[in-house]
Amino acid sequence: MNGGNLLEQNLLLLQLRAGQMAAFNKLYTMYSPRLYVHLLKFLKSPELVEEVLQEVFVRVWQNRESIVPEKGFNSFLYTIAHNLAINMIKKINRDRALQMEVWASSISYYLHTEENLLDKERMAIINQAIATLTPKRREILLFCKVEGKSYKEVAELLGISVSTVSNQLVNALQDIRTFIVKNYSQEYLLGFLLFVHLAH
Amino acid sequence: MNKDHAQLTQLLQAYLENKLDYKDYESFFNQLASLPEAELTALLDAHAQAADTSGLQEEFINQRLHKVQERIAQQVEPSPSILPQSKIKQSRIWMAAAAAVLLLTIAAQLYKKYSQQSSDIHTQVVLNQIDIDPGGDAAVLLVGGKKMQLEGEKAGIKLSDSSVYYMDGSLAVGQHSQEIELITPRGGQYQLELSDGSKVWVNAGTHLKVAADFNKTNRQIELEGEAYFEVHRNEKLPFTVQSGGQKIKVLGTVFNVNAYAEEALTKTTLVSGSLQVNDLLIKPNQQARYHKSQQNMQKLDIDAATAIAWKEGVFNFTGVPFDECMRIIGRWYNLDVIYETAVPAVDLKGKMGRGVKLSSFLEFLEMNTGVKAEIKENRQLIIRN
Repeated sequence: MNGGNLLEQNLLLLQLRAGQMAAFNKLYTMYSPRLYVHLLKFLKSPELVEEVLQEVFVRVWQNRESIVPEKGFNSFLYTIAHNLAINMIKKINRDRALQMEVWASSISYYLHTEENLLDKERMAIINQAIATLTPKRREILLFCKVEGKSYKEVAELLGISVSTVSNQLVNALQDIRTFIVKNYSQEYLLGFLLFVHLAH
Repeated sequence: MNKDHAQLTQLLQAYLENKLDYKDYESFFNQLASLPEAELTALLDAHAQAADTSGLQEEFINQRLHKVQERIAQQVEPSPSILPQSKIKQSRIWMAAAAAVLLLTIAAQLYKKYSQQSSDIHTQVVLNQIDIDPGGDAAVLLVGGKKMQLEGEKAGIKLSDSSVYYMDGSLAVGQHSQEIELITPRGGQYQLELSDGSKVWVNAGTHLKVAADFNKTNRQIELEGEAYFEVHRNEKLPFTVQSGGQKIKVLGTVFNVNAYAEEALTKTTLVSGSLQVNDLLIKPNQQARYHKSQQNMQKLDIDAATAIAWKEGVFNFTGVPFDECMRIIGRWYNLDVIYETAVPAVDLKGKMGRGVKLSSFLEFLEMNTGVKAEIKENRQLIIRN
Protein backbone atom coordinates (compact mmCIF):
# COMPACT_ATOMS: atom_id res chain seq x y z
CA MET A 1 0.00 0.00 0.00
CA ASN A 2 1.81 3.09 -1.20
CA GLY A 3 1.58 6.56 0.28
CA GLY A 4 -0.77 7.86 -2.40
CA ASN A 5 -3.37 5.21 -1.64
CA LEU A 6 -3.16 5.89 2.05
CA LEU A 7 -3.92 9.57 1.55
CA GLU A 8 -6.82 8.78 -0.72
CA GLN A 9 -8.20 6.35 1.79
CA ASN A 10 -7.83 8.81 4.62
CA LEU A 11 -9.76 11.38 2.66
CA LEU A 12 -12.50 8.91 1.80
CA LEU A 13 -12.86 7.98 5.45
CA LEU A 14 -13.12 11.61 6.51
CA GLN A 15 -15.74 12.16 3.86
CA LEU A 16 -17.62 9.05 4.92
CA ARG A 17 -17.57 10.22 8.49
CA ALA A 18 -19.02 13.53 7.35
CA GLY A 19 -21.84 11.63 5.68
CA GLN A 20 -20.85 11.89 2.03
CA MET A 21 -22.60 9.15 0.09
CA ALA A 22 -20.09 9.26 -2.76
CA ALA A 23 -17.29 8.26 -0.37
CA PHE A 24 -19.46 5.48 1.06
CA ASN A 25 -20.12 4.13 -2.43
CA LYS A 26 -16.45 4.31 -3.38
CA LEU A 27 -15.44 2.38 -0.26
CA TYR A 28 -18.13 -0.19 -1.06
CA THR A 29 -16.72 -0.65 -4.54
CA MET A 30 -13.20 -1.00 -3.15
CA TYR A 31 -13.85 -3.33 -0.24
CA SER A 32 -16.96 -5.38 -0.95
CA PRO A 33 -15.49 -7.83 -3.51
CA ARG A 34 -12.89 -9.14 -1.11
CA LEU A 35 -15.39 -9.24 1.74
CA TYR A 36 -17.88 -11.12 -0.43
CA VAL A 37 -15.35 -13.82 -1.18
CA HIS A 38 -14.27 -13.98 2.44
CA LEU A 39 -17.83 -14.44 3.68
CA LEU A 40 -18.48 -16.99 0.96
CA LYS A 41 -15.76 -19.23 2.37
CA PHE A 42 -17.67 -19.51 5.61
CA LEU A 43 -21.28 -19.16 4.55
CA LYS A 44 -21.16 -20.87 1.14
CA SER A 45 -24.56 -19.63 0.00
CA PRO A 46 -24.60 -16.39 -2.05
CA GLU A 47 -27.98 -15.49 -0.53
CA LEU A 48 -26.67 -15.67 3.02
CA VAL A 49 -23.51 -13.82 2.09
CA GLU A 50 -25.50 -11.03 0.46
CA GLU A 51 -27.81 -10.74 3.45
CA VAL A 52 -24.80 -10.29 5.73
CA LEU A 53 -22.97 -8.00 3.32
CA GLN A 54 -25.97 -5.69 3.06
CA GLU A 55 -26.28 -5.43 6.82
CA VAL A 56 -22.52 -4.89 7.20
CA PHE A 57 -22.49 -1.84 4.98
CA VAL A 58 -25.73 -0.47 6.40
CA ARG A 59 -24.04 -0.61 9.80
CA VAL A 60 -20.87 0.94 8.41
CA TRP A 61 -23.00 3.87 7.32
CA GLN A 62 -24.93 4.06 10.58
CA ASN A 63 -21.73 3.95 12.65
CA ARG A 64 -19.68 6.12 10.32
CA GLU A 65 -19.12 8.75 12.98
CA SER A 66 -17.08 6.35 15.05
CA ILE A 67 -14.53 5.70 12.30
CA VAL A 68 -10.96 6.66 13.16
CA PRO A 69 -9.31 7.35 9.79
CA GLU A 70 -5.82 6.75 11.15
CA LYS A 71 -6.76 3.18 11.94
CA GLY A 72 -7.80 2.52 8.35
CA PHE A 73 -10.98 0.96 7.09
CA ASN A 74 -10.15 -2.75 7.24
CA SER A 75 -10.35 -3.27 10.98
CA PHE A 76 -13.57 -1.24 11.20
CA LEU A 77 -15.16 -3.16 8.36
CA TYR A 78 -14.07 -6.62 9.41
CA THR A 79 -15.05 -6.08 13.04
CA ILE A 80 -18.61 -5.47 11.92
CA ALA A 81 -18.43 -8.21 9.29
CA HIS A 82 -17.16 -10.87 11.66
CA ASN A 83 -19.74 -9.93 14.24
CA LEU A 84 -22.54 -10.43 11.74
CA ALA A 85 -20.91 -13.55 10.27
CA ILE A 86 -20.84 -15.09 13.73
CA ASN A 87 -24.53 -14.29 14.18
CA MET A 88 -25.21 -16.00 10.88
CA ILE A 89 -23.15 -19.04 11.86
CA LYS A 90 -25.17 -19.34 15.04
CA LYS A 91 -28.34 -19.01 13.02
CA ILE A 92 -27.21 -21.79 10.68
CA ASN A 93 -26.42 -23.91 13.71
CA ARG A 94 -29.95 -23.56 15.01
CA ASP A 95 -31.59 -24.26 11.68
CA ARG A 96 -31.27 -27.67 10.06
CA ALA A 97 -32.89 -26.51 6.85
CA LEU A 98 -30.35 -23.71 6.57
CA GLN A 99 -27.53 -26.23 7.03
CA MET A 100 -28.92 -28.14 4.08
CA GLU A 101 -28.94 -24.97 2.02
CA VAL A 102 -25.32 -24.32 2.90
CA TRP A 103 -24.32 -27.85 1.99
CA ALA A 104 -26.22 -27.75 -1.28
CA SER A 105 -24.49 -24.45 -2.06
CA SER A 106 -21.07 -25.95 -1.56
CA ILE A 107 -21.96 -28.71 -4.01
CA SER A 108 -23.10 -26.39 -6.73
CA TYR A 109 -19.67 -24.77 -6.97
CA TYR A 110 -18.36 -27.78 -8.77
CA LEU A 111 -20.70 -27.65 -11.70
CA HIS A 112 -18.12 -26.06 -13.89
CA THR A 113 -14.97 -27.78 -12.82
CA GLU A 114 -13.76 -31.14 -13.91
CA GLU A 115 -12.73 -32.84 -10.73
CA ASN A 116 -11.47 -36.35 -10.67
CA LEU A 117 -14.70 -37.83 -9.64
CA LEU A 118 -15.27 -41.42 -8.65
CA ASP A 119 -18.83 -41.19 -7.52
CA LYS A 120 -21.38 -41.81 -10.22
CA GLU A 121 -24.14 -41.31 -7.75
CA ARG A 122 -23.43 -37.64 -7.23
CA MET A 123 -23.01 -37.14 -10.95
CA ALA A 124 -26.42 -38.60 -11.48
CA ILE A 125 -27.99 -36.30 -8.91
CA ILE A 126 -26.59 -33.18 -10.51
CA ASN A 127 -27.64 -34.28 -13.95
CA GLN A 128 -31.13 -35.02 -12.69
CA ALA A 129 -31.28 -31.58 -11.12
CA ILE A 130 -30.20 -29.92 -14.33
CA ALA A 131 -32.78 -31.89 -16.26
CA THR A 132 -35.55 -30.38 -14.16
CA LEU A 133 -34.58 -26.83 -14.95
CA THR A 134 -36.65 -24.74 -17.33
CA PRO A 135 -35.14 -24.74 -20.83
CA LYS A 136 -34.06 -21.11 -20.57
CA ARG A 137 -32.32 -21.62 -17.25
CA ARG A 138 -30.68 -24.83 -18.32
CA GLU A 139 -29.37 -23.16 -21.41
CA ILE A 140 -27.93 -20.24 -19.46
CA LEU A 141 -26.43 -22.52 -16.80
CA LEU A 142 -24.69 -24.63 -19.41
CA PHE A 143 -23.44 -21.64 -21.38
CA CYS A 144 -22.04 -19.89 -18.33
CA LYS A 145 -20.89 -22.59 -16.02
CA VAL A 146 -19.94 -25.41 -18.32
CA GLU A 147 -18.93 -23.71 -21.55
CA GLY A 148 -17.50 -20.80 -19.59
CA LYS A 149 -19.00 -18.11 -21.81
CA SER A 150 -19.05 -14.58 -20.43
CA TYR A 151 -22.35 -12.96 -19.51
CA LYS A 152 -21.99 -10.54 -22.36
CA GLU A 153 -21.52 -13.37 -24.85
CA VAL A 154 -24.55 -15.23 -23.55
CA ALA A 155 -26.61 -12.04 -23.53
CA GLU A 156 -25.77 -11.38 -27.17
CA LEU A 157 -26.36 -15.00 -28.12
CA LEU A 158 -29.81 -15.11 -26.59
CA GLY A 159 -30.83 -11.52 -27.26
CA ILE A 160 -31.36 -10.65 -23.62
CA SER A 161 -29.70 -8.30 -21.16
CA VAL A 162 -26.67 -9.13 -19.03
CA SER A 163 -28.79 -8.49 -15.97
CA THR A 164 -31.27 -11.16 -17.10
CA VAL A 165 -28.43 -13.62 -17.63
CA SER A 166 -27.21 -12.99 -14.12
CA ASN A 167 -30.68 -13.33 -12.59
CA GLN A 168 -31.42 -16.52 -14.49
CA LEU A 169 -28.13 -18.01 -13.41
CA VAL A 170 -28.90 -17.28 -9.77
CA ASN A 171 -32.32 -18.85 -10.25
CA ALA A 172 -30.84 -21.93 -11.92
CA LEU A 173 -28.37 -22.47 -9.08
CA GLN A 174 -31.17 -22.03 -6.57
CA ASP A 175 -33.31 -24.55 -8.41
CA ILE A 176 -30.48 -27.07 -8.36
CA ARG A 177 -29.93 -26.58 -4.66
CA THR A 178 -33.67 -26.90 -3.99
CA PHE A 179 -33.78 -30.12 -6.02
CA ILE A 180 -30.87 -31.59 -4.10
CA VAL A 181 -32.29 -30.59 -0.75
CA LYS A 182 -35.74 -31.94 -1.61
CA ASN A 183 -34.57 -35.26 -2.93
CA TYR A 184 -31.42 -36.09 -1.05
CA SER A 185 -31.77 -35.33 2.59
CA GLN A 186 -30.94 -38.85 3.58
CA GLU A 187 -28.00 -39.38 5.88
CA TYR A 188 -26.25 -41.89 3.63
CA LEU A 189 -25.19 -39.27 1.19
CA LEU A 190 -21.46 -38.91 1.67
CA GLY A 191 -19.00 -36.51 0.24
CA PHE A 192 -19.68 -34.31 -2.69
CA LEU A 193 -16.96 -33.82 -5.16
CA LEU A 194 -18.96 -33.64 -8.29
CA PHE A 195 -18.25 -33.79 -11.90
CA VAL A 196 -20.63 -32.78 -14.57
CA HIS A 197 -20.34 -34.44 -17.89
CA LEU A 198 -22.28 -33.00 -20.73
CA ALA A 199 -23.14 -35.85 -23.03
CA HIS A 200 -24.19 -34.77 -26.47
CA MET B 1 -9.96 -30.04 25.12
CA ASN B 2 -7.03 -30.55 22.79
CA LYS B 3 -8.72 -33.49 21.10
CA ASP B 4 -11.86 -31.43 20.47
CA HIS B 5 -9.78 -28.60 19.11
CA ALA B 6 -7.97 -30.90 16.71
CA GLN B 7 -11.23 -32.41 15.52
CA LEU B 8 -12.79 -29.01 14.90
CA THR B 9 -9.73 -27.89 12.95
CA GLN B 10 -10.07 -30.96 10.74
CA LEU B 11 -13.77 -30.41 10.17
CA LEU B 12 -13.16 -26.75 9.42
CA GLN B 13 -10.49 -27.55 6.87
CA ALA B 14 -12.78 -30.00 5.10
CA TYR B 15 -15.63 -27.50 5.23
CA LEU B 16 -13.55 -24.74 3.70
CA GLU B 17 -12.48 -27.07 0.89
CA ASN B 18 -16.12 -28.05 0.28
CA LYS B 19 -15.26 -31.62 1.20
CA LEU B 20 -17.19 -31.93 4.43
CA ASP B 21 -19.72 -34.75 4.54
CA TYR B 22 -23.27 -33.64 5.13
CA LYS B 23 -23.54 -36.05 8.03
CA ASP B 24 -20.84 -34.04 9.81
CA TYR B 25 -22.53 -30.68 9.30
CA GLU B 26 -24.59 -30.74 12.47
CA SER B 27 -21.64 -31.58 14.68
CA PHE B 28 -19.40 -29.11 12.86
CA PHE B 29 -21.74 -26.14 13.20
CA ASN B 30 -22.49 -27.09 16.76
CA GLN B 31 -18.83 -27.00 17.71
CA LEU B 32 -18.23 -23.84 15.71
CA ALA B 33 -21.15 -21.97 17.22
CA SER B 34 -20.17 -23.02 20.74
CA LEU B 35 -16.75 -21.45 20.52
CA PRO B 36 -16.24 -18.35 22.60
CA GLU B 37 -16.78 -15.28 20.39
CA ALA B 38 -13.16 -14.21 20.66
CA GLU B 39 -11.95 -17.57 19.40
CA LEU B 40 -14.45 -17.68 16.57
CA THR B 41 -13.46 -14.17 15.52
CA ALA B 42 -9.81 -15.21 15.57
CA LEU B 43 -10.67 -18.18 13.37
CA LEU B 44 -12.43 -15.96 10.85
CA ASP B 45 -9.47 -13.56 10.89
CA ALA B 46 -6.99 -16.36 10.40
CA HIS B 47 -8.66 -17.52 7.24
CA ALA B 48 -8.93 -14.09 5.68
CA GLN B 49 -6.07 -14.99 3.38
CA ALA B 50 -7.17 -18.52 2.52
CA ALA B 51 -7.80 -19.29 -1.12
CA ASP B 52 -11.21 -18.85 -2.63
CA THR B 53 -12.66 -22.28 -3.31
CA SER B 54 -16.05 -21.21 -4.56
CA GLY B 55 -15.04 -21.06 -8.18
CA LEU B 56 -17.61 -18.32 -8.69
CA GLN B 57 -16.72 -16.09 -11.58
CA GLU B 58 -15.72 -12.53 -10.91
CA GLU B 59 -18.49 -11.43 -13.22
CA PHE B 60 -21.10 -13.25 -11.17
CA ILE B 61 -19.83 -11.68 -7.97
CA ASN B 62 -19.74 -8.20 -9.48
CA GLN B 63 -23.35 -8.50 -10.61
CA ARG B 64 -24.40 -9.66 -7.15
CA LEU B 65 -22.46 -6.84 -5.50
CA HIS B 66 -24.35 -4.40 -7.68
CA LYS B 67 -27.68 -5.79 -6.52
CA VAL B 68 -26.64 -5.56 -2.90
CA GLN B 69 -25.50 -1.98 -3.38
CA GLU B 70 -28.95 -1.03 -4.65
CA ARG B 71 -30.57 -2.53 -1.59
CA ILE B 72 -28.12 -0.77 0.71
CA ALA B 73 -28.86 2.54 -0.98
CA GLN B 74 -32.56 2.08 -0.29
CA GLN B 75 -31.86 1.56 3.37
CA VAL B 76 -29.39 4.32 4.08
CA GLU B 77 -30.85 7.38 2.34
CA PRO B 78 -29.48 10.21 4.45
CA SER B 79 -31.85 12.83 5.85
CA PRO B 80 -31.07 16.26 4.38
CA SER B 81 -31.14 17.95 7.77
CA ILE B 82 -28.91 15.77 9.88
CA LEU B 83 -25.64 17.51 9.08
CA PRO B 84 -25.32 21.17 9.99
CA GLN B 85 -23.07 21.68 7.00
CA SER B 86 -25.39 19.86 4.61
CA LYS B 87 -25.47 21.41 1.20
CA ILE B 88 -28.95 21.33 -0.27
CA LYS B 89 -27.51 21.09 -3.79
CA GLN B 90 -25.57 17.94 -2.93
CA SER B 91 -28.54 16.29 -1.27
CA ARG B 92 -30.80 17.17 -4.22
CA ILE B 93 -28.41 15.40 -6.59
CA TRP B 94 -28.31 12.51 -4.18
CA MET B 95 -32.11 12.39 -4.06
CA ALA B 96 -32.28 12.20 -7.83
CA ALA B 97 -29.69 9.43 -7.81
CA ALA B 98 -31.57 7.58 -5.10
CA ALA B 99 -34.78 7.88 -7.08
CA ALA B 100 -32.96 6.43 -10.06
CA VAL B 101 -31.65 3.59 -7.92
CA LEU B 102 -35.14 2.89 -6.63
CA LEU B 103 -36.54 2.85 -10.15
CA LEU B 104 -33.71 0.54 -11.24
CA THR B 105 -34.55 -1.77 -8.38
CA ILE B 106 -38.21 -1.78 -9.37
CA ALA B 107 -37.25 -2.40 -12.99
CA ALA B 108 -34.98 -5.24 -11.88
CA GLN B 109 -37.80 -6.76 -9.84
CA LEU B 110 -40.06 -6.58 -12.86
CA TYR B 111 -37.36 -8.33 -14.91
CA LYS B 112 -37.20 -11.08 -12.35
CA LYS B 113 -40.95 -11.50 -12.37
CA TYR B 114 -41.38 -11.71 -16.11
CA SER B 115 -38.08 -13.09 -17.33
CA GLN B 116 -39.33 -16.64 -17.26
CA GLN B 117 -42.05 -15.94 -19.79
CA SER B 118 -40.11 -13.87 -22.18
CA SER B 119 -36.43 -13.37 -22.52
CA ASP B 120 -36.67 -10.04 -24.21
CA ILE B 121 -38.46 -7.56 -22.03
CA HIS B 122 -38.44 -3.84 -22.32
CA THR B 123 -39.64 -2.53 -19.06
CA GLN B 124 -41.00 0.92 -19.22
CA VAL B 125 -41.37 2.76 -16.01
CA VAL B 126 -43.92 5.44 -16.63
CA LEU B 127 -43.74 8.57 -14.56
CA ASN B 128 -46.78 10.67 -13.88
CA GLN B 129 -46.89 13.93 -15.73
CA ILE B 130 -47.41 15.70 -12.44
CA ASP B 131 -44.80 14.86 -9.85
CA ILE B 132 -44.14 16.15 -6.37
CA ASP B 133 -40.82 16.76 -4.67
CA PRO B 134 -40.21 15.31 -1.25
CA GLY B 135 -39.97 17.47 1.86
CA GLY B 136 -36.87 19.28 3.00
CA ASP B 137 -35.59 21.54 5.76
CA ALA B 138 -38.08 24.27 6.53
CA ALA B 139 -39.44 25.88 9.68
CA VAL B 140 -40.86 29.01 11.21
CA LEU B 141 -39.84 30.39 14.58
CA LEU B 142 -42.19 32.25 16.90
CA VAL B 143 -40.48 34.29 19.57
CA GLY B 144 -42.81 36.10 21.92
CA GLY B 145 -45.45 36.02 19.20
CA LYS B 146 -43.19 37.42 16.49
CA LYS B 147 -42.92 35.16 13.46
CA MET B 148 -39.68 34.50 11.60
CA GLN B 149 -39.04 32.24 8.62
CA LEU B 150 -35.94 30.15 9.28
CA GLU B 151 -33.41 29.51 6.54
CA GLY B 152 -33.86 26.01 5.16
CA GLU B 153 -30.25 25.71 4.06
CA LYS B 154 -29.03 26.10 7.58
CA ALA B 155 -31.06 23.07 8.63
CA GLY B 156 -31.01 23.68 12.37
CA ILE B 157 -30.90 26.17 15.20
CA LYS B 158 -29.26 26.29 18.58
CA LEU B 159 -30.82 28.01 21.56
CA SER B 160 -28.53 29.67 24.02
CA ASP B 161 -29.78 31.28 27.22
CA SER B 162 -30.72 34.47 25.47
CA SER B 163 -30.26 34.13 21.72
CA VAL B 164 -31.02 31.85 18.85
CA TYR B 165 -28.22 30.83 16.51
CA TYR B 166 -28.17 28.72 13.38
CA MET B 167 -26.11 25.53 13.54
CA ASP B 168 -23.40 27.23 11.53
CA GLY B 169 -23.01 29.87 14.24
CA SER B 170 -24.74 32.78 12.54
CA LEU B 171 -27.27 34.73 14.57
CA ALA B 172 -30.97 34.19 13.98
CA VAL B 173 -32.63 36.09 16.80
CA GLY B 174 -30.96 38.35 19.33
CA GLN B 175 -31.97 38.96 22.94
CA HIS B 176 -35.09 37.29 24.12
CA SER B 177 -36.43 35.82 27.29
CA GLN B 178 -39.69 34.49 26.11
CA GLU B 179 -41.31 31.30 25.06
CA ILE B 180 -40.01 29.97 21.75
CA GLU B 181 -42.07 27.95 19.31
CA LEU B 182 -40.70 26.03 16.33
CA ILE B 183 -43.23 25.19 13.65
CA THR B 184 -42.54 22.93 10.68
CA PRO B 185 -44.96 22.99 7.77
CA ARG B 186 -46.14 19.89 5.94
CA GLY B 187 -43.15 18.89 3.84
CA GLY B 188 -40.74 20.41 6.31
CA GLN B 189 -38.36 19.21 8.97
CA TYR B 190 -35.79 20.94 11.16
CA GLN B 191 -33.24 20.35 13.86
CA LEU B 192 -33.02 22.11 17.19
CA GLU B 193 -30.48 22.19 19.98
CA LEU B 194 -31.80 23.36 23.32
CA SER B 195 -29.89 25.50 25.78
CA ASP B 196 -29.16 22.49 27.99
CA GLY B 197 -27.45 20.69 25.12
CA SER B 198 -30.38 18.38 24.36
CA LYS B 199 -30.97 17.76 20.66
CA VAL B 200 -34.31 17.52 18.92
CA TRP B 201 -35.14 16.46 15.35
CA VAL B 202 -38.53 17.80 14.32
CA ASN B 203 -40.61 16.06 11.65
CA ALA B 204 -43.18 17.57 9.27
CA GLY B 205 -46.31 19.34 10.43
CA THR B 206 -45.13 19.85 14.00
CA HIS B 207 -45.39 22.53 16.68
CA LEU B 208 -42.77 22.49 19.41
CA LYS B 209 -42.82 24.96 22.31
CA VAL B 210 -39.90 25.64 24.62
CA ALA B 211 -40.84 27.25 27.95
CA ALA B 212 -39.52 30.75 28.64
CA ASP B 213 -37.56 29.62 31.70
CA PHE B 214 -36.21 26.47 30.08
CA ASN B 215 -33.02 25.24 31.74
CA LYS B 216 -33.56 27.68 34.59
CA THR B 217 -36.42 26.41 36.69
CA ASN B 218 -37.57 23.58 34.47
CA ARG B 219 -37.07 21.83 31.15
CA GLN B 220 -40.58 21.96 29.78
CA ILE B 221 -41.47 21.21 26.19
CA GLU B 222 -44.87 21.11 24.53
CA LEU B 223 -45.23 19.03 21.40
CA GLU B 224 -47.88 18.49 18.76
CA GLY B 225 -46.58 16.43 15.84
CA GLU B 226 -43.45 14.30 15.86
CA ALA B 227 -39.97 14.75 17.25
CA TYR B 228 -36.98 12.68 18.19
CA PHE B 229 -35.17 13.69 21.37
CA GLU B 230 -31.66 13.15 22.71
CA VAL B 231 -31.95 14.54 26.20
CA HIS B 232 -28.95 15.67 28.15
CA ARG B 233 -28.82 14.16 31.59
CA ASN B 234 -29.67 16.53 34.44
CA GLU B 235 -31.14 15.00 37.54
CA LYS B 236 -31.83 18.39 39.08
CA LEU B 237 -34.09 19.50 36.24
CA PRO B 238 -36.33 16.78 34.85
CA PHE B 239 -37.15 17.16 31.18
CA THR B 240 -40.86 17.02 30.42
CA VAL B 241 -42.76 16.79 27.14
CA GLN B 242 -46.46 17.55 27.15
CA SER B 243 -48.61 16.34 24.24
CA GLY B 244 -52.33 16.75 24.77
CA GLY B 245 -53.34 14.46 27.62
CA GLN B 246 -49.91 12.88 27.83
CA LYS B 247 -46.94 13.97 29.89
CA ILE B 248 -43.49 12.45 29.54
CA LYS B 249 -40.89 12.78 32.24
CA VAL B 250 -37.27 12.11 31.46
CA LEU B 251 -33.87 12.37 33.15
CA GLY B 252 -31.41 11.67 30.34
CA THR B 253 -32.65 9.66 27.45
CA VAL B 254 -33.13 9.09 23.69
CA PHE B 255 -36.73 8.74 22.55
CA ASN B 256 -39.27 9.54 19.83
CA VAL B 257 -42.69 11.10 20.32
CA ASN B 258 -45.37 10.82 17.67
CA ALA B 259 -48.31 13.05 18.70
CA TYR B 260 -50.13 14.34 15.64
CA ALA B 261 -53.52 15.97 16.19
CA GLU B 262 -55.11 13.92 13.40
CA GLU B 263 -53.89 10.58 14.82
CA ALA B 264 -55.98 8.76 17.42
CA LEU B 265 -52.90 7.47 19.21
CA THR B 266 -49.91 9.27 20.67
CA LYS B 267 -46.88 6.98 20.46
CA THR B 268 -43.75 7.38 22.54
CA THR B 269 -40.84 5.06 21.76
CA LEU B 270 -37.79 4.72 23.97
CA VAL B 271 -34.39 4.12 22.37
CA SER B 272 -32.20 4.31 25.46
CA GLY B 273 -32.42 5.42 29.07
CA SER B 274 -35.71 5.38 30.93
CA LEU B 275 -38.94 7.23 30.53
CA GLN B 276 -42.12 7.90 32.41
CA VAL B 277 -45.22 8.52 30.32
CA ASN B 278 -48.03 9.70 32.58
CA ASP B 279 -47.95 6.83 35.12
CA LEU B 280 -46.29 4.29 32.90
CA LEU B 281 -42.59 3.50 33.05
CA ILE B 282 -41.06 2.23 29.84
CA LYS B 283 -37.71 0.67 28.99
CA PRO B 284 -35.63 0.77 25.79
CA ASN B 285 -37.38 -0.82 22.78
CA GLN B 286 -40.75 -0.26 24.37
CA GLN B 287 -43.49 2.03 23.21
CA ALA B 288 -46.19 3.76 25.20
CA ARG B 289 -49.41 4.18 23.25
CA TYR B 290 -51.87 6.72 24.53
CA HIS B 291 -55.37 6.56 23.12
CA LYS B 292 -56.53 10.17 23.33
CA SER B 293 -60.29 9.78 23.32
CA GLN B 294 -60.38 6.67 25.50
CA GLN B 295 -57.68 8.19 27.68
CA ASN B 296 -55.91 4.93 28.23
CA MET B 297 -52.25 4.01 28.02
CA GLN B 298 -50.75 0.74 26.74
CA LYS B 299 -47.19 -0.56 26.68
CA LEU B 300 -45.74 -2.50 23.73
CA ASP B 301 -42.45 -4.17 22.91
CA ILE B 302 -41.17 -2.76 19.67
CA ASP B 303 -37.99 -2.34 17.66
CA ALA B 304 -37.22 1.31 18.37
CA ALA B 305 -35.35 1.56 15.10
CA THR B 306 -38.60 1.38 13.15
CA ALA B 307 -40.05 4.32 15.09
CA ILE B 308 -37.02 6.55 14.54
CA ALA B 309 -36.26 5.58 10.96
CA TRP B 310 -37.68 8.93 9.76
CA LYS B 311 -34.84 10.75 11.46
CA GLU B 312 -32.34 8.72 9.44
CA GLY B 313 -34.15 9.74 6.26
CA VAL B 314 -36.09 6.51 5.83
CA PHE B 315 -39.78 5.63 5.93
CA ASN B 316 -40.28 2.33 7.72
CA PHE B 317 -43.78 1.14 6.97
CA THR B 318 -43.56 -2.24 8.67
CA GLY B 319 -46.41 -2.70 11.12
CA VAL B 320 -48.03 0.63 10.25
CA PRO B 321 -51.68 0.48 9.10
CA PHE B 322 -52.26 1.57 5.51
CA ASP B 323 -54.21 4.72 6.28
CA GLU B 324 -51.57 5.88 8.73
CA CYS B 325 -48.85 5.28 6.08
CA MET B 326 -50.78 7.52 3.72
CA ARG B 327 -51.13 10.24 6.36
CA ILE B 328 -47.34 10.09 6.87
CA ILE B 329 -46.88 10.48 3.12
CA GLY B 330 -49.40 13.31 3.09
CA ARG B 331 -47.48 15.23 5.75
CA TRP B 332 -44.10 14.76 4.08
CA TYR B 333 -45.18 15.55 0.53
CA ASN B 334 -47.76 18.10 1.65
CA LEU B 335 -50.74 16.50 -0.09
CA ASP B 336 -54.30 15.56 0.68
CA VAL B 337 -54.89 11.84 0.36
CA ILE B 338 -58.34 10.95 -0.94
CA TYR B 339 -59.73 7.42 -1.24
CA GLU B 340 -61.84 6.70 -4.31
CA THR B 341 -63.72 3.95 -2.51
CA ALA B 342 -62.61 2.51 0.82
CA VAL B 343 -59.22 2.30 2.46
CA PRO B 344 -57.55 -0.72 0.81
CA ALA B 345 -57.24 -3.71 3.13
CA VAL B 346 -53.54 -4.16 2.48
CA ASP B 347 -50.33 -3.92 4.44
CA LEU B 348 -47.56 -1.75 3.16
CA LYS B 349 -44.32 -3.26 4.39
CA GLY B 350 -40.71 -2.36 3.92
CA LYS B 351 -38.60 0.75 3.86
CA MET B 352 -38.11 3.63 1.48
CA GLY B 353 -35.93 6.69 1.42
CA ARG B 354 -37.58 10.00 2.29
CA GLY B 355 -35.66 11.88 -0.37
CA VAL B 356 -37.46 10.38 -3.38
CA LYS B 357 -40.08 12.05 -5.53
CA LEU B 358 -43.68 11.06 -4.99
CA SER B 359 -43.80 9.09 -8.24
CA SER B 360 -41.11 6.75 -6.88
CA PHE B 361 -43.16 6.16 -3.78
CA LEU B 362 -46.22 5.40 -5.92
CA GLU B 363 -44.23 2.80 -7.88
CA PHE B 364 -43.18 1.27 -4.57
CA LEU B 365 -46.81 1.29 -3.43
CA GLU B 366 -48.09 -0.44 -6.54
CA MET B 367 -45.32 -3.03 -6.55
CA ASN B 368 -45.88 -3.98 -2.95
CA THR B 369 -49.66 -3.82 -2.62
CA GLY B 370 -51.15 -3.51 -6.09
CA VAL B 371 -52.75 -0.23 -5.05
CA LYS B 372 -52.73 2.44 -7.74
CA ALA B 373 -52.74 6.13 -6.96
CA GLU B 374 -52.91 9.23 -9.07
CA ILE B 375 -51.50 12.68 -8.46
CA LYS B 376 -53.94 15.46 -9.28
CA GLU B 377 -53.62 19.24 -9.33
CA ASN B 378 -54.14 21.05 -6.04
CA ARG B 379 -51.78 18.59 -4.41
CA GLN B 380 -54.28 15.76 -4.22
CA LEU B 381 -53.46 12.09 -4.24
CA ILE B 382 -56.33 9.83 -5.27
CA ILE B 383 -56.11 6.22 -4.11
CA ARG B 384 -57.86 3.93 -6.54
CA ASN B 385 -58.59 0.36 -5.55
